[in-house]
Amino acid sequence: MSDSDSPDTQTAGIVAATTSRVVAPFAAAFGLFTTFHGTSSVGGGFQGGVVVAATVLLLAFAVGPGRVRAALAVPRSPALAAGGVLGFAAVGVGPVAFGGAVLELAAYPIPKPAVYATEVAEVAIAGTVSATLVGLWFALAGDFRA
Amino acid sequence: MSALLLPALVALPVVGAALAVLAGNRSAGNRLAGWISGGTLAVQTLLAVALAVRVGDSGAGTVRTVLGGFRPAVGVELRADPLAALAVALFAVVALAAVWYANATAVGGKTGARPDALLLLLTAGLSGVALTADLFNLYVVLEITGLAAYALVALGERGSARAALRYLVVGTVGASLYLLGVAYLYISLGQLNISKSNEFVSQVGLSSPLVLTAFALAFVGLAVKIPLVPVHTWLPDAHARASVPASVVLSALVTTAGVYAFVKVLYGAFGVEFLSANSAVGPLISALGAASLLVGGALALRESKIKRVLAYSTVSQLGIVVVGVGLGSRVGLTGASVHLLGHAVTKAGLFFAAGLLALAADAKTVEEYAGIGNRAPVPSAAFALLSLGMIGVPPTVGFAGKWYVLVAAADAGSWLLVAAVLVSSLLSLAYFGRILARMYFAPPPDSDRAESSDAPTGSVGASGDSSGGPSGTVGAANSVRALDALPVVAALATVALGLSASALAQFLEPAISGLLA
Repeated sequence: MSDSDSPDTQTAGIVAATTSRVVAPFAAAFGLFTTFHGTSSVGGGFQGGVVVAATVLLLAFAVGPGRVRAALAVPRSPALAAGGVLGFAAVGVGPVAFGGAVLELAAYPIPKPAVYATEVAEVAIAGTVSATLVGLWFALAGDFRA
Repeated sequence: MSALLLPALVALPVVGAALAVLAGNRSAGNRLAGWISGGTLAVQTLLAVALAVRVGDSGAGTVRTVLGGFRPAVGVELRADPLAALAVALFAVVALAAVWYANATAVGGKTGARPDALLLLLTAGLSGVALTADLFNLYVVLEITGLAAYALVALGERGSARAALRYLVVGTVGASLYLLGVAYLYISLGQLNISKSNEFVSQVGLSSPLVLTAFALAFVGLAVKIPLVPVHTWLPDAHARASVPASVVLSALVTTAGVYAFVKVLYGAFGVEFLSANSAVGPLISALGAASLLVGGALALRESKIKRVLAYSTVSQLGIVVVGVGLGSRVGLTGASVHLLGHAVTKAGLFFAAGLLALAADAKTVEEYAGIGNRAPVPSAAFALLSLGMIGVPPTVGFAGKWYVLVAAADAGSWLLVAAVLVSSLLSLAYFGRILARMYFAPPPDSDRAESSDAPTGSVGASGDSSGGPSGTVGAANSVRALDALPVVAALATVALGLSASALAQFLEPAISGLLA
């Protein structure tokens, strides 16, 4: 099961690890698909962010939390979470600059404004959700800095 | 500008919280995070004052904004009446004071977990509770408030994580029950706007099982948040084990928001006709309020830790507010509103004073308060004055609020409620009198310790709340000494509000009329 006592380097068995490595890119792509498709079908930033976070956790199980933490700069995940909040706020207040009300996304002077502005908001939400989930999981896994 | 004011009051603290997280995430960014939080809340206070002025000027007494330019029935509406404006201002001011206290005493210093961002998120949730005009959004902002509050409790002293977990479980059950009630209402009414619900409820039938079920679920859910006896059991641990600034915002603000949410649901969504059609509901609410004020008062009498006495006193005082809410009359609601705001100011000051006394003289129990009036005169005097306000001695605001509720109970001919409010005043006289007597008339336990505590710098940061604080340096001592202003200002505000109680009631009049319409 593990080649060391430290939880940071614990990995799954070779079969599970290899499978996880193969599946991870597709899972991440599905997470992004869910995020971007929120405007026209089921999905959105919350679900998409959860899938992306799940991909990170899958990799952490497969290759050990220590490597994933270093590779993905997990200790900085609060910054991504805060950035998502700021991004959403910016998209929400933006219409005021073009004479609309707060959150009146149709006021943006771009083609299909409601769709694309919502898209940006969804990505911001996905960033906050996935960063929060990943940060929480790694905090529970023993690194209290993130 | 006016269309931006209401959304800004909810969004600004959230943005500030995100910025505080970004700043605190860098090494040595802690000071910056403190400044960001303080600055955000200062701006928030100014916006709240601007809102209060605007609400006072407007003829109808309300300011409304629908987000995204939708119709109110479809979109999310924000709405401010005088009560909401005062509540938002109160939330901003007390949260600002809590941020100052937290930064001056370095709360959570050792763990690196800082309360700034949480206090800002909490302010956003609280302001949302005051301003939202949408039943589902009320659930969302209550949950934002709740989640920030759970985390704030967990930053406290030893045993706070356990208290926070219990608070989380109970609070989430309460919120879920409320959400279930909202779902029932949505099924029957097909919309969630609070002021529109009023007319829809009468169409569905004021006594129809669906409406009654929805009310019962929402009432029980919000009773946990207020909290009312017998679902108050999470409160003493959570409020007493939290750090001082967290205790302040929990006891003074979160409970206030809970009561305000209940008033909104009862009078806004169900309407005063619902109370007259179901004659048992109003007395039931008042009876639960009376039970809270008696049980809370009796339990406060048994406690030896000051913070636990204050926590039970919160249960008791909110009982008086709920008695006024259940009476369903103009005077009753006025009394409830005045006492709600007055209690928040007074209780915030009391928790600040208790925290400062713990810092200055390491006194946390009624025993240890012996002779503290000479050792730490300023916080002691403020504590004494605020206690008188809590007991309801004129000319404090505590007297004004209780008086309105008493008059309303007498008007309604509920002499049992009159007796309950009077007995609760006696109880609060007993539990605060016990503390005041020790503070000023008991000799200090042993004179050696008293002398060492007189040293201006030696005792700063000695309390468990502030471990890790920069104790011993003159600068830290000065910054902590400046905190003495907090309970003093609260005490003065208690008296000032009491003296201007009729003006306050007059300012709140449009809000009361709106609720009873």
